[in-house]
Amino acid sequence: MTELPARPRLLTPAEDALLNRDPVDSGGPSDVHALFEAERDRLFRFLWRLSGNSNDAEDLLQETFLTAWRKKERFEGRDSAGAYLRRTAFHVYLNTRRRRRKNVGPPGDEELTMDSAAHTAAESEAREELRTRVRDAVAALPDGTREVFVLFRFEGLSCAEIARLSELTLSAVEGRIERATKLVAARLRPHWEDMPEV
Amino acid sequence: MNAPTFHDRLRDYVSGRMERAAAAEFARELAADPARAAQEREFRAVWSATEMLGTLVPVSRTTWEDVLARDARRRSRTRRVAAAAALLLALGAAAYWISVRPGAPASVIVEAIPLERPSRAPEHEAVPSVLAHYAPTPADPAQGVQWLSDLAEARAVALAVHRPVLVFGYYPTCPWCIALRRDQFREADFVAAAVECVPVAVDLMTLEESEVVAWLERGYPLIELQTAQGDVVATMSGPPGTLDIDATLARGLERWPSEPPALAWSAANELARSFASSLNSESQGRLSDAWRGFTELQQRGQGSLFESAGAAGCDRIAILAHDELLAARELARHDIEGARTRLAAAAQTCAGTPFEHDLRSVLSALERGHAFPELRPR
Repeated sequence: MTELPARPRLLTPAEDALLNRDPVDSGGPSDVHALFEAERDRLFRFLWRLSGNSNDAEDLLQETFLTAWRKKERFEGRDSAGAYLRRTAFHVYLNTRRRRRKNVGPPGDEELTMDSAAHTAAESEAREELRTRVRDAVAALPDGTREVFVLFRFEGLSCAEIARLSELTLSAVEGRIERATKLVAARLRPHWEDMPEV
Repeated sequence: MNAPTFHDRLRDYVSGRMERAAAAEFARELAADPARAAQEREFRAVWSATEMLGTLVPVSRTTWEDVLARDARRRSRTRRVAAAAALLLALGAAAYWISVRPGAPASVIVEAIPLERPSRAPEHEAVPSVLAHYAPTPADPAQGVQWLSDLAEARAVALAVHRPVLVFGYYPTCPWCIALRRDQFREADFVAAAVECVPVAVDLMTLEESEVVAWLERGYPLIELQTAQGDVVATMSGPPGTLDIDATLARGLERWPSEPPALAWSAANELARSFASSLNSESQGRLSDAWRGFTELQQRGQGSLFESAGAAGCDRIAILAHDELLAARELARHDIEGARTRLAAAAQTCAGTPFEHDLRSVLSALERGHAFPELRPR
């Protein structure tokens, strides 16, 4: 069956700004600035989950915007500007990891803002302990597998989207998700009874 | 567009995002496949456990100004790196150009080799070879003194040891002469005086007629004390009984200058042997040995012919090094490799002499600069 062309969509002002190749060092076009403000927190969360700490994530975030602007020719308006930025952020993260040879995982022991409801002190302590176990289980995943798991579990990307982003085959993505699931489960199995139920 | 994979559907199913009809069908599929069902249970547990990580919302502190500042730093650093790289490149190119540029040789300070060739090449025949083993003193005094037979050789020996020549001109069949050699020349007083000289008995039969006439005009049998140059110091010529030979000889020796002092025969023999050995080393190309021998002669033969003979030997080796160095320079005008080979051979030949270092320095500079270096005197 012939695949139908993507349905035309309206570009946002920020996407227009990217396509118009406005210079970023002239003080910042207002639309690109707006794009930064709109995507910052989402991208930061994404990078924070990949890198494992806020400092690296902040660094990667800045690098992501600069790289996205420098290589804006790669943005052709087919995807959303957000998807383009996430793709850029993922490659910035991979390049940095290769340079540093640093195996980073999900959040470290830093103070975080929770969007969940407030808890009692005892509940908070118990949740903190559980959170540490889960964080460690994800952090212990091998490079490559952990990124796929984060994209699938926290970013909500489909296997096909992950395959395109990571330049992997679909079966390789499925294999890594399955492997990550087994590895995390193996580490958390002794604590199943403490875990919240779905 | 890709169809959802098993894991896509599993996630939708576990997270409750799947439509009711699709979820029911997926549940049936799982029930029919125990392996898939086990996979679903494990995935559900992990999904549930990692839910708490998904609720964490860190807050970014990065501002738009941070991004602009980072861009400015990046551009500045890029410019600095580019400038540094350009500088390093320029320095490297300059260093390379200096090291390999043709026609701009380095300078070498020549320490030992004379850059001006001595106008006169020193001779090495000054020390007579007979002196290596000759002394007039007889093993048995009754045998009389050991006479040399070659006047020129005797004069050379006399020059080397700072002694007068005692000349005895005779005919082999002359009764007077036979009597003198048999009797008086074996007497102790005569022997004691004669060993202070260089005695030479010249057979007049071996001389040219004109020379014989000149000799005979001075008396016969001819007995004279002469300098190495042939000047007469004392004469005892005439038929036996005419003069008191021993007394005249003693007076002549008394008049012989005490400076420079006469060399002892044993010392002269040793120096002569050392000279011969050095000369032999030189002729065989063992210049290190030759240099050492000639240098010792200079030190030990103070004021004598051996000193100048040693100096002459050293000079000859210096001239050889000079000639090789300049020949290599000439060769380098059209054949650098030939010059390099010649210098290497010369350095090998002069190994152990003070000139080796100069030759190797020039060779090294030539190999580095691919041109013959400028030679500068110390």
